Amino acid sequence: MAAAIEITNLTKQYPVPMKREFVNAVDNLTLTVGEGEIFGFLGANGAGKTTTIKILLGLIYATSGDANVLGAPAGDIAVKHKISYLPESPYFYEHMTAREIVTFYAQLFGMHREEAKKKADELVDFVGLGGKSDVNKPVSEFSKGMRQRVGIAQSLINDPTLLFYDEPTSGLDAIARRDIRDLMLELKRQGKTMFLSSHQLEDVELVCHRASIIHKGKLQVLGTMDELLGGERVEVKLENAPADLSAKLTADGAIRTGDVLTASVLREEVGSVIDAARVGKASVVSVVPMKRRLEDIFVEIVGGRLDKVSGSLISTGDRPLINNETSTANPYKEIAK
Amino acid sequence: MLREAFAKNPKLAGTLVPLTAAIIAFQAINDRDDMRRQPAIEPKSVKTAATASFGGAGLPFEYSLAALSGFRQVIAGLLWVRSDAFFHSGNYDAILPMIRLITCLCNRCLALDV
Amino acid sequence: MNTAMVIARNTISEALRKKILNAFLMVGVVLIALTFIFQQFAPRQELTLVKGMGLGIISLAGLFITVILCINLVPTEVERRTIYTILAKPVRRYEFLLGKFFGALGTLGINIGLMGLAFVVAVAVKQIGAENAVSPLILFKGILMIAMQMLLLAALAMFFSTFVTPLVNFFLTMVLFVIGNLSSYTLDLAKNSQVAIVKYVLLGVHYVVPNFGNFQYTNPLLQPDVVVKNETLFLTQNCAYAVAYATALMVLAILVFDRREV
Repeated sequence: MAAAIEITNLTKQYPVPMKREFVNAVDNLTLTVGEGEIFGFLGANGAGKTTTIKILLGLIYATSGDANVLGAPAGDIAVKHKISYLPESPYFYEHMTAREIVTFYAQLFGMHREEAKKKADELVDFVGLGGKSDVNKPVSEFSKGMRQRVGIAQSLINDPTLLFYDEPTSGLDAIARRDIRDLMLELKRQGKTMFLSSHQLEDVELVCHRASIIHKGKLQVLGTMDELLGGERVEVKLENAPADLSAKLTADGAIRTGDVLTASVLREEVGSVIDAARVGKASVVSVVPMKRRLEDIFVEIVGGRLDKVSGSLISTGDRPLINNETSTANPYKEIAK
Repeated sequence: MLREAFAKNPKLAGTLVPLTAAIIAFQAINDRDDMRRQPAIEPKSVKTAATASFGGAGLPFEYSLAALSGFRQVIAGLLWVRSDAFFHSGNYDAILPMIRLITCLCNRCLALDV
Repeated sequence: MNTAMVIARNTISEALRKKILNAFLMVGVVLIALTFIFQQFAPRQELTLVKGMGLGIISLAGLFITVILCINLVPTEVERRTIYTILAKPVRRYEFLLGKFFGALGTLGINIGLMGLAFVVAVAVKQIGAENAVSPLILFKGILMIAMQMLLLAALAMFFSTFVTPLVNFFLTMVLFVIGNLSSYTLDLAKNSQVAIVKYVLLGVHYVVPNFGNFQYTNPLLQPDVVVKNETLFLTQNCAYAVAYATALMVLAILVFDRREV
């Protein structure tokens, strides 16, 4: 798969006022996004997400490193015919209506006025603004959700190959968020490439093929949704578990409440655990499948507890996850014999 | 930032050379005495215009406004420089209305050798 | 350049809606109309007064409209982040900047044109039955010189707006406008100076600072019997000077803006 975005050792430094120091907004970032991929780019506020996007769009310049978009250096004017950008909380000229704004942006692609107006009408209807009573009012009177729809409309003018969406659902109510998520899913179905920066982690889980998390400018983890969410784990509750099984499960983080031991094991290990419990004449109280949430990983990384992340997600601080490093050995098989 | 910009766009930066030459050339034309000393022929109405308080004697409106707003000494000084230029070019008729205005604005300016 | 024209049209449309600029325009037009009230200050000089005040009002209102419009054009786009969605499109930075500049010129043209029209009408009304009536076309020469002056001032403000804040830009532009208006004085002082270093500093100031004083064309309009030597050369070279200097300033602005982070 050809690379839509290639970032190699990208660094962006800003000087600290009144001091002879620099702060790295982006620190030696390396990642690749393939064509047709929906890529989630996650991080806390101030992590360097918007800085990275601005470098890719040519709005600011990197201190060092390379950034290529659709095979050309970031900011290349020819490539801009094939990409689009939806900034966080987009601002528009307040005196213009939605159609006028989209017409204006369409003309920036070289469209003639009539063609641009026609395109604007189509897109305003596509994003769900056509039927609204306020659509012909100046955008200063629009709600946040309506402004976001105008932003999406202007991002679709040139039928782009690659879209940069920065917090597309930020500040929206549940219905508007669902509509925008559905739109992103439609773009995914059409095979578009999207570089999505969002704090709505449930949307990222649903929409993205792969995701990465950056913290203080550095890449922390990178992988597919399955890799990041650690495969499937199962919660097993046992009563009166035998001593050897109990010791092993407790060492792996199981919690004891009276006679009941609650453990989280990988799905492929469940059979062995139940066999070991049966052999030791323990009672199986419950077996409930669990799935990690992206939010858990995000909080662990941003909270600085990366080394304690269990399951298939392994990282030793600075080294990001590239491959699934799940261990294939099943420690409970020996106990079950 | 400018150094980077010049390095990245040498052709565009190069256009500054002919533009600067043109600017200096046009200014040099404007600095010629026959272009600066306008009007070339002093009209009779200059003498009567000297008694008019608003917009008279060819004094630009901004200077009148500045005189009213308090920059009297500055205006008096500027008029003195102008009258000195007229003195050196031998245009003595033009000096008189200016001297009247200078003494009006700055009546402590006593060192006027008229 | 089509993109620049699209941006220019949008800039004009936005600028004509700005209340403060419309306020200056309204005040200018009303004051020109009210010049008749000030007649009592200059008996037997009413026409001179109307012409002098009218040109002065156009110049002053034009000055404030130009400065307030141009110091905010680029910084407002950056502050409001509307520039992001524009530069993410296939718009070159110089096209954006030139579009803004041409939009500013268009707005100034409309404002000075409206004030000039009010001025010509006021003079035409005042001249009814007067002995020394002048053709309104002659008055347009004065308005043209004011327009050229404002063109140069707009380019100066746009250049500064690419790298300083609007507040600093306001003071810088106004100070240079004042110094530029004293261009004939700097030359006279340089010529009459006895000390070499002072002479060269004053000459440097005279040639580097835009000479706004060149565009003073009030006297021949106030005194109709004044004959201006080389009038065509005077007007032409002033226009050429304004265009050349404005072009140089915009080239510098493009060079700076190209490397500026938004």
